[in-house]
Amino acid sequence: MSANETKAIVVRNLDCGYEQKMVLLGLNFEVRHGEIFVIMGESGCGKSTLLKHLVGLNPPSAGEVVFLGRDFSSARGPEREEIQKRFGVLYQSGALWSSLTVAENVALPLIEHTALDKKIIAELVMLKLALVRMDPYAHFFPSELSGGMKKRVGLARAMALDPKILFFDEPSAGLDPPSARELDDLMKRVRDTLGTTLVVVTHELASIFAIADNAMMLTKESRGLVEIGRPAEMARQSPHAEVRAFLNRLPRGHAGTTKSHDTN
Amino acid sequence: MEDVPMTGADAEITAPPSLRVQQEQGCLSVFFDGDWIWRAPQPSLMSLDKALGKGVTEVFCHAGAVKQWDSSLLALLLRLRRQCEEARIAFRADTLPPHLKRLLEEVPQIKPPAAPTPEQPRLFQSAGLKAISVFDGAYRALYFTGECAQALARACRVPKALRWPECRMVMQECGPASLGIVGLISFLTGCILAWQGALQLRQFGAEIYVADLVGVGLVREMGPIMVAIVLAGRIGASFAAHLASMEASEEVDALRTWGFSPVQFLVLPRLMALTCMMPLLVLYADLLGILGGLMVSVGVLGVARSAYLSETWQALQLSDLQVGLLKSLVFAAGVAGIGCATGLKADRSADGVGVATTSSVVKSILFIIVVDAIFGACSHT
Repeated sequence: MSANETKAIVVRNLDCGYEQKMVLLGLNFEVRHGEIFVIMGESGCGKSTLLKHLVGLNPPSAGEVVFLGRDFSSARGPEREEIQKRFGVLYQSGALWSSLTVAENVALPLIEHTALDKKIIAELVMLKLALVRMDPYAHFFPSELSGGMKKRVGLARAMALDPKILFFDEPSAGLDPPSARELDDLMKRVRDTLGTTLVVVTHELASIFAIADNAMMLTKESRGLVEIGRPAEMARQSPHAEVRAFLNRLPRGHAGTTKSHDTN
Repeated sequence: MEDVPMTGADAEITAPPSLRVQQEQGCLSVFFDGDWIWRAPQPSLMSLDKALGKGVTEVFCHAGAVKQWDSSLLALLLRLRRQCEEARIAFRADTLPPHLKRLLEEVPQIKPPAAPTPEQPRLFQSAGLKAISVFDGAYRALYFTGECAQALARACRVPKALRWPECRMVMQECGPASLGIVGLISFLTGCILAWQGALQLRQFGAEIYVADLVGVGLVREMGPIMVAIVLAGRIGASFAAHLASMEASEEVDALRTWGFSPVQFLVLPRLMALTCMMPLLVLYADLLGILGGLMVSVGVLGVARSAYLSETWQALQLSDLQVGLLKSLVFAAGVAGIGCATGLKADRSADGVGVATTSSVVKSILFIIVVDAIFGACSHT
């Protein structure tokens, strides 16, 4: 087994951005199997852009993204589709298909991508909905659900094909604190019960400290990552002032609690 | 027993999934084997369903031989468990691998909620609802017209109240940006009118009257109608889609909470822009249509160019042009008003935007035809 296969995600020299405007340059990082990996940083630092490059919505200008030992960035056609089935994405708003019911939203990937019996698909849909506690709402339309409910259904849909990796774009955005907490617990439960690797883009400190095994800090100034580590340790003793300031909720330019190892 | 954790989507299939049932008196044992992964060809469940109906009192599940599994096995076990519950059969999952058992316990009871049965509308009820919606629609149209008139009056009193930059932008979209499509359609309409007219008039040796037919027909009827229909599809639909998206993203609510009237802010610039541009486009369409008729008459029918032009000049009266331009003003106000009103009352969803766009085009075309018929009837009485 090569070193890459022991990692869920390997990103090498990745440049992210849009045509003339590159937001992140030469990004290198790895995500281990079964961990919750948080991508954090201030607004506009390129977190969501990076996520779009990771899930293949934007083609990378340079570099490669390797999922479970298979190069996704250069894969085309059926191979690319095959890799796409191995990860799921929960979008910021849930991105449920508004003309389908909750159950139909979760069933669609199963109907299109599997040859399973209809009854088994119905059972699977209810199973996924039960895992996110949304089974009583199977016949509801997305417009009848609250923001938190939409996200939970979005998570059930993302888990439809038993992906090994789940991506979350700002999962706590727009949720009240109890709902955000419930979603955090749900993410941990998904990781613990199914062994899924979770990559979460967020800047919600409460969520970062509650769920992250490892976190990566991006900044606008560096156009890349500043540090990777455990959030609690980074908050206490990061050598980077901006990381300490971010994790301790201090104003920009504040040196944070530890002032000894400033590199900037 | 080996505790095999749930396999993810990257699993390689080594042995296809299979199940075997074995019955001893009231005790049914179900043996699962192979890789229970959704990508593998799934075995038939008929033997299992059949066996359940034969006086079974207890079901034992054995998944010790399963090498890999995912949600497909879990779903099958959940289905089996529910079938057992419904038939009052004891379901024993003690022999399942702990991972699988834990997940089964995680979702203890899933009962799919009954699908809501849509209420069957009764005849009188639906007729009444339809009548109410017609009156409601008429009231809303009248109210909207009043709001537009009020906004227009305010803009006349205080010219700053009209948002000129937006008005200019919409004018650009309605006018210059539409020249190509309007020109092509008008030119071809002129050609078709001349060709079809010539086929009939030739029988009487009256080809020269093609100029009358094309000139009057275009300036009075076809020019305004064709331009209005093109703009209903191109501009009216875009007004509806734009305003419906703004409604969906709460931009219209934001205007209201700031005390801005959406009619003043959004509708009036569009109404003004289209009403200014449509008559100009109709003049342009008339000229191109006459040019199309001229080319067919000169090129195909052999009519002299000067004779065609002088016949057109004689046939056309100022009143034809006036009627055509008046119609274009009414059509413009109607298309812009319908587009904006439909967009503003759209449902706040992706579907709502689609429905508003389609509905705006259908209503606009209906409006154009009905108004044209009324004009036709009035001009003959």
